Amino acid sequence: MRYAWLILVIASLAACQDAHDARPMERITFARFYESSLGQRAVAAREFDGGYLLLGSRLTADDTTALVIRTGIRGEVLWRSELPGIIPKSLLIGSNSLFVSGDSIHVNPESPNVNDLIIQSALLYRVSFSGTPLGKLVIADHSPSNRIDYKADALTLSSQGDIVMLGTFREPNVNATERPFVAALNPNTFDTLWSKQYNVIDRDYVNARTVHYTADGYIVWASAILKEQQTFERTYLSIPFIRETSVFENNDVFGATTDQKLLVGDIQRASDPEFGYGVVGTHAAPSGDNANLFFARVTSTGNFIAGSERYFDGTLSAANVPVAALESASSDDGAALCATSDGGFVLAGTMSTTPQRGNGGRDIFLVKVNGMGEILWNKVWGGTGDEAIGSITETSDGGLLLCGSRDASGLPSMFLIKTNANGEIQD
Amino acid sequence: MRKSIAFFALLLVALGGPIAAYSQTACALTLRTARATYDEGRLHELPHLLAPCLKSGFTKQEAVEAYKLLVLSYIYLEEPTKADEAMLQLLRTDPYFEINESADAAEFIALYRTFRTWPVYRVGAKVGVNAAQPHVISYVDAVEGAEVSYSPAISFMSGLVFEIPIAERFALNPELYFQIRSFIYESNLNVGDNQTNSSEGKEVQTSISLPVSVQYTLSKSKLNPYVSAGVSVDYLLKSSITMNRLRVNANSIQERTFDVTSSRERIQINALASAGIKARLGSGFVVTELRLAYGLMGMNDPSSAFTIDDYLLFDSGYADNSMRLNSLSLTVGYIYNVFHPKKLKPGK
Repeated sequence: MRYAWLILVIASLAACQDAHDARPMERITFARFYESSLGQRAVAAREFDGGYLLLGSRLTADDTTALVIRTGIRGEVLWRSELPGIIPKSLLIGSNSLFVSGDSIHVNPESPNVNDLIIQSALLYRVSFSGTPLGKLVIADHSPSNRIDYKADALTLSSQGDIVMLGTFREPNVNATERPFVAALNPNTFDTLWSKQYNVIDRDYVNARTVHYTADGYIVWASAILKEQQTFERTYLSIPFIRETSVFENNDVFGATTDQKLLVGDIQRASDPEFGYGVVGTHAAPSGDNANLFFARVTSTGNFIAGSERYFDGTLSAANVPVAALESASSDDGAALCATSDGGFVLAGTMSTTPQRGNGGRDIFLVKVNGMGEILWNKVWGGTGDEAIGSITETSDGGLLLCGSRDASGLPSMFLIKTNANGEIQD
Repeated sequence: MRKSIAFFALLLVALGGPIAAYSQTACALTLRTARATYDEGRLHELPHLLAPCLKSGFTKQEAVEAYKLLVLSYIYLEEPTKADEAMLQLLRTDPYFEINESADAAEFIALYRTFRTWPVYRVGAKVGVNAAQPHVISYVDAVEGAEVSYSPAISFMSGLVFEIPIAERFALNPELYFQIRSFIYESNLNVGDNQTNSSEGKEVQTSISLPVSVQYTLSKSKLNPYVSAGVSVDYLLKSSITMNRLRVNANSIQERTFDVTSSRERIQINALASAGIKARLGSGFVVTELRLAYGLMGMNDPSSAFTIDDYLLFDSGYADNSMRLNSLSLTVGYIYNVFHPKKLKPGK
């Protein structure tokens, strides 16, 4: 018994210690990865009721399932909901439920009609705040054959609280292009209140991930207008600006008279709506070479502000300098952006690692610009594999919330990162 | 000429041994004569009689006895200064000399007690092993649902040891160690079907440690058991994490070592509690000691939990919990007594 204390000391040291026996660390930032034995990719994240909502997808060989994850303040899972058969694209927080939109792909390998081999339809799920699926809307062509494909790209709420869905449709024709539609839906019954299809020009519309409904009743979004020519893609940007059920009241374009591949990732309102919008995307040569992260400003009425365009290269902009349009060392893309309360924007994309910068594969590339588009700071994060950005938003405490996926070893998993206002996972 | 030098060298070797043996035998005879002289009371003859052999010829034991006779002689001749000088020479010859309370003269014992007869310090070296175990103060999760645990790993340490007796049974014990401390990090995530994504890492910290403790000898015996308590200040030289990652349905991530020194506090302060034994061997002690070092400070900055290294975070899902580091060490060593006998000032 004399040496019982010694035995106790040795035993306590020799034993494993579970970190969760301690208390959780008080922090304002975190990084959290959500893994499984299957690939998962995050699409969108939003601050919600003292925690966060994360929308992602789980990929299998024959199906895709949307994952809606409600987390606490440190990103810890509080509940998880699965929505089958949807490739999710957009997450909307309504007044009494959540909405998830995306695409459903149905394969008909036995169909004699080439137009019906793969049929795409738009899906909208309504989910309670506790994660229970409450309803589902399928926007599809129910014709027996030669069906029209529908895709749902983005959701927002109108001033009346109705759901406004932006999507595209493609008619069953080899030469048909993918064109936008906007539909307003009752948030409780999913009844269609109105819808409008746009056949403005004979080119593919590739919509950004966000659609806005302004205080004065306008709907605005951003699209890349694309025309593939053999292996080249020549695209330019347009900002459709409509009233409910109206034709385009404005449709300003950028790059229509020059040759380039210009894709749009996102469009977001400035912190003061009077200052219009910021647009982020990817600018490259028509061959896809010399890709840079692209940023431009748009007025509140949907006009590109001449001279506001900026190009950033993950390597050459390391010292907080913009580059010329095709001046590029790394292959960059712009996926999402958010307005910050100081009047600026944070642009989020990825860059390919170069000998000068990066950690291998594609890394996260963040650029903070002020309201004039002047770069304030930039950061590169990542591991040996490929990282991708789903969304970025500013949180109520002035921090940044990013989601996306990392693919370190051939299996993607989702991440949710909360940073401080300077984009650091510090404190 | 060369032949002459070789001849003299051989002569010296041949005669050197017998001359020394003769000298020792002669001095043994001198000591016997000195004892008789002392017994006959002719005390004033002793210094002259012993002087040549004290200079050279006595064995250590004979020299001690000779000095003892001199001390006694000077005491009785009432020459205190010379008695002190003889006692000092006795203690320098044999620092471990101890009085025999029942046989030695009271005056001799009294004089002996006016001298510093204990070692002024001990010096030595220790080597050993330690097992370090982090204590998590607060945790962060980088991988949702993963169970993170730490376990000790065995590492090496060695250092210099000093002991300064400060009172009966008490000694101040400053040391200087080069130490390696390491521990294992494990993160396991059950992804279903009894399959697990896992990360396993080993953190190795190399540091210089300066422990200072107060040692109390529990009993003066063959093993001299003792306990001690104190603090140590460690200066971290380097810290690295070697991480290995395995994921279900995915390629493993190549094992890599990351330098995490900049994410660790360079200075660490630990509370120490030790228990050990000191077994007498030669002019010192063989020491075996078990020591617990209890980290009093966090070993890392919690604000940087996610920013140690991008690869660690994105490839391995590693984030730094806020931790203190404790360790248990077992060392063996040898400490050598260093004496500086001197006359104590009155009152000491």
